[in-house]
Amino acid sequence: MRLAFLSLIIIAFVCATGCKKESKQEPGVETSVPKIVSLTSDKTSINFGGDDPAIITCVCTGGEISYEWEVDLGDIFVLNEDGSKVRFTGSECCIGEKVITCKASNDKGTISETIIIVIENP
Amino acid sequence: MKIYTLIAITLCLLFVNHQTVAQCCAAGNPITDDGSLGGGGKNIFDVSLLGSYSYSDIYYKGNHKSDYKYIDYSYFLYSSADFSYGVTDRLKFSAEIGYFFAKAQYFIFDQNRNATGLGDLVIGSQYLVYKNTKRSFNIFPRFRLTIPVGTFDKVDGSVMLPIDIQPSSGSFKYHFGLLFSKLYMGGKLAFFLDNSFEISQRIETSRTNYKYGNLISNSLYAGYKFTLNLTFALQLRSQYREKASDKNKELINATGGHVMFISPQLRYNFYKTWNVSLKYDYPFYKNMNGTQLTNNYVLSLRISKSINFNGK
Repeated sequence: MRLAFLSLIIIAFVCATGCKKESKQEPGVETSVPKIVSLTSDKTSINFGGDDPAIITCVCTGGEISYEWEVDLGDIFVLNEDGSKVRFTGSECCIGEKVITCKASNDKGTISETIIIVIENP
Repeated sequence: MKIYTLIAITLCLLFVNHQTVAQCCAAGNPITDDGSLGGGGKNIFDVSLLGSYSYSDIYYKGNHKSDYKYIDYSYFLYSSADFSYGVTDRLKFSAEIGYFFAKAQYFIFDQNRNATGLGDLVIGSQYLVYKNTKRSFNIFPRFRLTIPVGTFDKVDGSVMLPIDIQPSSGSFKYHFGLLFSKLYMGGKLAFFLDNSFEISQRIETSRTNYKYGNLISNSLYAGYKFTLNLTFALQLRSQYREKASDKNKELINATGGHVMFISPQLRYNFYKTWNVSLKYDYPFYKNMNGTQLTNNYVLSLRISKSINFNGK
């Protein structure tokens, strides 16, 4: 009876440790406070509409970075897997100077940077 | 009767003469009021469920269709639960809470986005301020308050969604209205004239600073009971929305406009206290400021139940 009880505990332990969720952070990957190295765009001004997008890239160090983008008026779509490259366009409502914010964060902190793109009426 | 007709027409014209403009898509709950007067009476509790589908894919510049394409098409699927209760024979309170099952935009450059979430809470009241039983004519001032309890500043993946597809309006809205009702043929034929003005408060969150244009709405509703159970109604509705303003409080040119809808509606009463209604909103006139995506149609299905707590 004792043996059966012990076996049960061992099985439960093995299951509990074996079923542990994998940590998101890969072992050996050390993170540091994120730092935005560059925030660049291939254009400083674009025409309104979908045919003339600006491609904006944010390069950040620190490891395990997750990106978040925002703009008050205009449309941003992510182009790559880690979210560091986006496509920016705007309709007629968005004509004018637009401030785009790239926020980079990991377990050590968050940092943000802005870039200005002008949407013009061709 | 002539004096009342004159008052109604004057008020209607007063609202219509404002120089304002409207926009196609807006954050928060869509307009669910059909311009008629549902339920009412002391200790009468009305509950209803609404399902609404809206589709948009036409750009307008001024009052003409435009060849411009940016968003290929856009739609939303919205559902709300509405409650109202007659505290007295003259005073009624109401509440509405909704949910967006989809609020999507598909672009011509092979990108799309979708938002789902809780809409806003709308509470309201209406008071029968004037009643002429002999002439079957009534006047009801109405007030509604939109409380932004829903999902706002929603992020999709790595990008914060734009304001026009956020499920919540993000700010309070104050809605003042005056409703006139007139019945003919012993109630078989009903007319409602609804004039309202909605003020949108500026949205000021950590990420958004924006103000939707105020909305002026006028509608004329005519309902005819073909049988005891079946009513056909037609509503003509005019909606003017002022221009929106950005974080610098500057007016945004390609926002706002004037849209007029015609909305046929079929309502069927069953088991005495149940109603089901189907409504189709078709915008037959649009005059937009700049070039804007405009609505093609809205289809709504509502089922409602009246509960009488008077013990009759």
